[in-house]
Amino acid sequence: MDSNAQHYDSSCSFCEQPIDGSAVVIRRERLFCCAGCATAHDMLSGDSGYGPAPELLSKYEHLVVATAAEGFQRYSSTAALWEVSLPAIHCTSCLILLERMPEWLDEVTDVRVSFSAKRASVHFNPELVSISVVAAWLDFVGYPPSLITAKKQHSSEVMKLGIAGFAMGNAMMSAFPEYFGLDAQGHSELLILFRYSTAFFATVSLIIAGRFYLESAWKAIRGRTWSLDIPIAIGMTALWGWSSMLLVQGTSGGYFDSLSGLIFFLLLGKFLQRRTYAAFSFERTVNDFLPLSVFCVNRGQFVRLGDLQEGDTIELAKGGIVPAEVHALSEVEIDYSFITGESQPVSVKTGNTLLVGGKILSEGLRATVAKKAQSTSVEQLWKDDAPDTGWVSPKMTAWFTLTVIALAIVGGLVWWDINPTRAIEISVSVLIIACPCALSLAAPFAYGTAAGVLSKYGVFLKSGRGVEELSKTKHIAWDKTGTLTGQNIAGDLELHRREWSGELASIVARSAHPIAAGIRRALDAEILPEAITQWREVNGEGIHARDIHGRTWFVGSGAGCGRPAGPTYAVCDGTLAALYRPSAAYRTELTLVFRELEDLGITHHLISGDIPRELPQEWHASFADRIHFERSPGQKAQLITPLENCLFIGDGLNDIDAMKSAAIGLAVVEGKLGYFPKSDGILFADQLHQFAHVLRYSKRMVATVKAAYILSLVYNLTGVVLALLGHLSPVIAAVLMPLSSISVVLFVVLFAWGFAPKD
Amino acid sequence: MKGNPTAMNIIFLLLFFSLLIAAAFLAAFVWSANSGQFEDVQGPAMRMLREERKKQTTNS
Amino acid sequence: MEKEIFKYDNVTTRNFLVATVVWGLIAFLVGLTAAIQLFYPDLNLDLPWLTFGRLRALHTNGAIFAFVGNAIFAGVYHSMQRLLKTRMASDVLSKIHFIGWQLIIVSAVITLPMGFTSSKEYAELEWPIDIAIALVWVIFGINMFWTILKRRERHLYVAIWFYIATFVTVAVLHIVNNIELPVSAFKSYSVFAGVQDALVQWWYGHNAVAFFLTTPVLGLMYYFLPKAAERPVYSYRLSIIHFWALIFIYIWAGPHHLLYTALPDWAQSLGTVFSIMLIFPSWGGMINGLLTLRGAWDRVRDSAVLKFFVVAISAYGMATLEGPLLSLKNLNAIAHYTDWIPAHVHIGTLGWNGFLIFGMIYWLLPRLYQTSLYSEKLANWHFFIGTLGIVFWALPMYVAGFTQSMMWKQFNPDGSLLYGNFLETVTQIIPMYMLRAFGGLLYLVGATLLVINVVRTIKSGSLLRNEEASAPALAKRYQKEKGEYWHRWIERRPVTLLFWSTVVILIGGAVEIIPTMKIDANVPKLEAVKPYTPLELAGRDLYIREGCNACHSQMVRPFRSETARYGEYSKAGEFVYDHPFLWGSKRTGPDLHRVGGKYPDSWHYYHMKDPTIMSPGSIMPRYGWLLTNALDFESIPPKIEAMITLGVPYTAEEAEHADAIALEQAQKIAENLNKDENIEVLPEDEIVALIAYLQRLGTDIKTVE
Repeated sequence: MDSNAQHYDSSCSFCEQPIDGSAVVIRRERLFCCAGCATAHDMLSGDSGYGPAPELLSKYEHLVVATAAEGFQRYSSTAALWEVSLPAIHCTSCLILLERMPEWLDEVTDVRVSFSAKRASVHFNPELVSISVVAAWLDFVGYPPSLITAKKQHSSEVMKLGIAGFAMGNAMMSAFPEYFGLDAQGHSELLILFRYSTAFFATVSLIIAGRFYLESAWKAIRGRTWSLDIPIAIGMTALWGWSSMLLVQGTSGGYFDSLSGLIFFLLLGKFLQRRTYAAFSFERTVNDFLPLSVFCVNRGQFVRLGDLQEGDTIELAKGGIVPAEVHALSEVEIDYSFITGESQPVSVKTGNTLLVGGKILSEGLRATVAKKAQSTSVEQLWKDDAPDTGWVSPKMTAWFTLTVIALAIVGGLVWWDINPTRAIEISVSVLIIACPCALSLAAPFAYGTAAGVLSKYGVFLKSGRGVEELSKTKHIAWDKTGTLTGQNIAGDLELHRREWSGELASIVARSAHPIAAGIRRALDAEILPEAITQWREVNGEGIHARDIHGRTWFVGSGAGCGRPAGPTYAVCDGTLAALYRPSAAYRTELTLVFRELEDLGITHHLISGDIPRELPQEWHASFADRIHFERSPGQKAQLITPLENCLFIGDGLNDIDAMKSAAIGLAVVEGKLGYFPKSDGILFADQLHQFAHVLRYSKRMVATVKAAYILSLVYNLTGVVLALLGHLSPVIAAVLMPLSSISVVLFVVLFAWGFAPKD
Repeated sequence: MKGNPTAMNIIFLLLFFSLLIAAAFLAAFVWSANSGQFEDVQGPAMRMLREERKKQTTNS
Repeated sequence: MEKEIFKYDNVTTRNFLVATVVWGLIAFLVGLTAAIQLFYPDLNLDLPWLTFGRLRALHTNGAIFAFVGNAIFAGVYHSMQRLLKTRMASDVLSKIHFIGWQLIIVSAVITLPMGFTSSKEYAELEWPIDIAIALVWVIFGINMFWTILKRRERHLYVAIWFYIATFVTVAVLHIVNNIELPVSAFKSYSVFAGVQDALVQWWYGHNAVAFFLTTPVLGLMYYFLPKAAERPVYSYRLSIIHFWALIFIYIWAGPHHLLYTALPDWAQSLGTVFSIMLIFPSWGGMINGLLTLRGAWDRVRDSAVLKFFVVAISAYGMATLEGPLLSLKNLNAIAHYTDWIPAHVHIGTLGWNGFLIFGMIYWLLPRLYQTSLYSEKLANWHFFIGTLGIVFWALPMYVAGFTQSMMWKQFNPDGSLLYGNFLETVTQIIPMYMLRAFGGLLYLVGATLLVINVVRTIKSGSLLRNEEASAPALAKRYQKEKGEYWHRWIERRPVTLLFWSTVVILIGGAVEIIPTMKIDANVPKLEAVKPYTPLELAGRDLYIREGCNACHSQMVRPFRSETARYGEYSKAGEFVYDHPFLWGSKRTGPDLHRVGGKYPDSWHYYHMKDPTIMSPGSIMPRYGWLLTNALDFESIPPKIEAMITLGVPYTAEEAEHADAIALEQAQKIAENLNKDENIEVLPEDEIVALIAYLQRLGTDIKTVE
């Protein structure tokens, strides 16, 4: 076969979906879109020897005591359901692979994926397989379960929005006959029918959907705060009340159609606001990262964290997380990067205390519980957010509401002089038309759209408030590890035998391991699937393979080929073919970003808990003497607090204090999964070089919103003037109110898209 | 309308049936929202692509 | 939760597919015949069963219910089972559905050429067949909903919702529009009259287009397009949104077919606004469809199926934009009654319906027969020829429509019509009719290629009658925690209240209103408007039988160009006794509302005998049999009685002696006619009754000079 012919059948042999060329995995001349499909296929073909390694199984062992775990339900002794969050779900193939799980794992009877929620409902027989094994298998095919409770969507929101939309459409249509001249043509019964129809639809919408604003306004009043819902509620009440009066009097159909439109748009804004930011759930507590249970030696079984008592002896495996403050019963190596950010392991002697959150690096450990899991110092790092007061500042809301009320009163009084019969009508008209619908939609739609744009730049904010904060940034405090440095983003490949690159590329292409991927990326060679006749990957060690020329290959750790630990070796028949070192070096591409940010008026600071490490030459100008190493979380906070409008960019739980003291905090994330600590948002590491664009965009968005506020106030003003002059009629309101809402929304959305940096 | 006041009474009839249909579908919508039909707005489009394993295969 | 093994029924699907192809070919052939008749009237062959007036209804019913109908059922039966992971609930119902539907079509093929028609467009079939349609439809519905209840897939894919919408609305529309009072085995009168009937008819007519030609086909698109393209719908969320948006406001459709007619202004404006609003949900479907193929356009190049789908969806987008634009008053004033309207219709039917169905057939049939399509090349030829066919069909008709409209409206400087003779405006567009027929021929040729491909494919494969599949039974719902339960209970309350109160209100309204439906005989409409005489009524029924309303309208619009040509514009009050209304929707020939008294009786005699005698160059068929067929006078009294039931103010005596009264009037007319030495006619000849009717038209009101 011509080895240059790279035209493959482009469907995955397992899930049958089209393969994205760059991500192909090859096993035994078959193409798969991912390692998961390849694995599933092999298992289906009866290949034994595939399955989660012991370490993987032990990683999920603690789930055995999972009966109280969120999402787990036992129906009978043979039927259980686990609704598990699988954040790695991202494509059609994922869905198909997971839903075919019963084919490659018999004990699982059915899997149903909810794609939007990135969740799977796994039905299995608990007598035949335990939840830990199911979890390990999910991890094995590429979908590690996340035990962090995912927020479930409220179905009632969708329902209310639908009813509001229905009401609006039909209220409008039944209001039109009168606008088109129905009453002039002598069909009074029809007129009454249409008027009452419109009123009916609008009232229903108010009761079911609009009620929220009335309730919210009431709460705000009782709590003595100014919320934009107050003038909205006033407007709605005025609308409904006055229209009912007009209807019953027989004067006109009232403003019911405007009311129904108002309610729909408001609800739409609220819905979109919530939906955009629900993509990433930021509500984590420290308990989400700890195991659900741990093996208690003296009781001889797994025990839930909450049930642990002082004095209990627990057993932790290699890679396990310390769940409570304990005293070590043997010497142990711990990785405290979770807490301090320090990547160097710490040696702890027998009898000393281990803190919550540390990761066990040495083989297994026994320890006695010193303090119960609940009361630890790590808890104090988590504080709750201040409640959200809404987009428009309380001050502005107060000013707005009081002005409107004043105008209504003044207008009424003036008209009392001129024509008393119209006084009340004028007053009420002012209240009706001044309803700040457009005003309240500007920010949600603007920031909602912005969220979508920002996501393309790897930035995911918890709420639109983040955009505002970003726009005001004057200082940026950078953490070091993971932020200014990275893992496996690039590597150094020493290719000793160029003539074997094809075979090497073919070997590493079949593995999903990040190091293999790194080698593959560094190699610039064609894959020759027929070149490899045997292939076997051993977890923790490497790949053993044989090529078509009969040569034996090993690609993996030093331990696997009798060489010094450190780099990854590619050895062919004993000869070193290549050497690969993933670099944890500074991200030098950031140099340009620092300068661009300085052009925007930013001052850079480096604040890290790590040991000092020399910065690249080009960065000295940007950071000057504002470099601080070896700071504890408290010290970091102290450094940041005096800085006005400071953005903190870091990663890991250890930065929580710093995040709190900064005006806004962003967590840098490496891959699809990562820690999502209590920051205001996350930032994907490989998009850091776009950050100047992000900041510039934020400033523009804030300006856009301000312009939108002005635009909506112009509408309000126009309406109020018309009302005061006695010209407000149902028709005008029906035109003005939707017009203002739609035009303001279009304005912000178009600008949000327009300002987006072009690719 | 020129001179036939009762002709437009037909609107009542048409509106009645139209609203009946609309109400029925509103009820269907509410049922859908409450029974989780809108929970996953991406999965079903992918799920329907799964081909059943057939005894005889088709060449395409 | 063991996996259950079951089998999909492919036999019913296959049956419906074959029926689609067979009836499609016939419907296209009838359409082509009708198109040729318009420039070669001799093709009417002097046979009553083949006249354009009767064939038109056969073509429309065939295309809509036989071709598209069977295709819909084929697609629904195939996709439903697989989307819901279950076999159709009842094999018996499936069989009854299939056989019943074919029998209905056969009865249409027999009755329509025989002249048994209600004259109401797309609802021409008479009352026994209407009942049969309702029954078969209910059976289809039971089968469908039962299958939904037995499903193993909890989520109802959007296509299913489109099918449900189709079922519910078509059921209601069909029943309401076909409320008719039978007079004899195959004759009935609409319960509604005049303006009311017009409104009901076009409420039905437009919604029939929507819910028979659009929603179910959208459902098919949402299933077969992703399957054929092997990629998911572009935005499933969008499909959900545009479905519900569509169904929530579609109830207001209808009035845009009646612009500038005697419908009140406000109703017309409402129709326009609604139609414009409808662009958005409709285009949601089009956008979704086309964008599903983004990034896969190279596959479209290689696949006939995808090519058909792309053109179909584009045609859908075009038609759903053109429709709303045509409902704007200024455009409507130009387009209504001209060939622009059929052009619009056929973009939708040939392009959207036809091509989507062809694509579906090419994709589905090989799979059912476990083989591959006999010839991809032939399918591609079909595509190109068919597309050319659509272009040749529609473009000439746009030209024709515009030409005719402009010619109708042109005035001389002195204020007289430039083209006073209607025939001039017809002759001018004959070449366009020829081109259109050529387009239809191309389309038919394409369809023939499909037939060849289908037959050969079937022969080369073997039907997988029952396709094995497996799926676990519907999983138990995860019980919500107690905490959430009360919250949902409260939420459900207002909605239940809303629903029931709506129902109550509607029922209350209905109770109040239905009695007023009957025309109040005590309230005079227009003083001068009187019911038709028995003979005139008989003549009207002949007019209906021959399908005259297919080419002639009876609605003079309030435009100077129309009042100059036809006389006083039509008032709603003039139609109060018209069961059914006969406003027509096309002027292949001139409007007839004011034809009464314009020509002598003998003119009409000769004109029916051979239109070219009175109008050289006329394309109207000859109606020789009217001169010799005998009118059954005994059938007249029951008609009068029926009319009385419907509220027309005949006296009981008139009813009892209707035959004699009619005969008396007929004798007068016959005597008058026989004065012409070339005419020899008996009072019993049908032509007499028809002349009586024509001479009555529009004479009730006296024009104000």
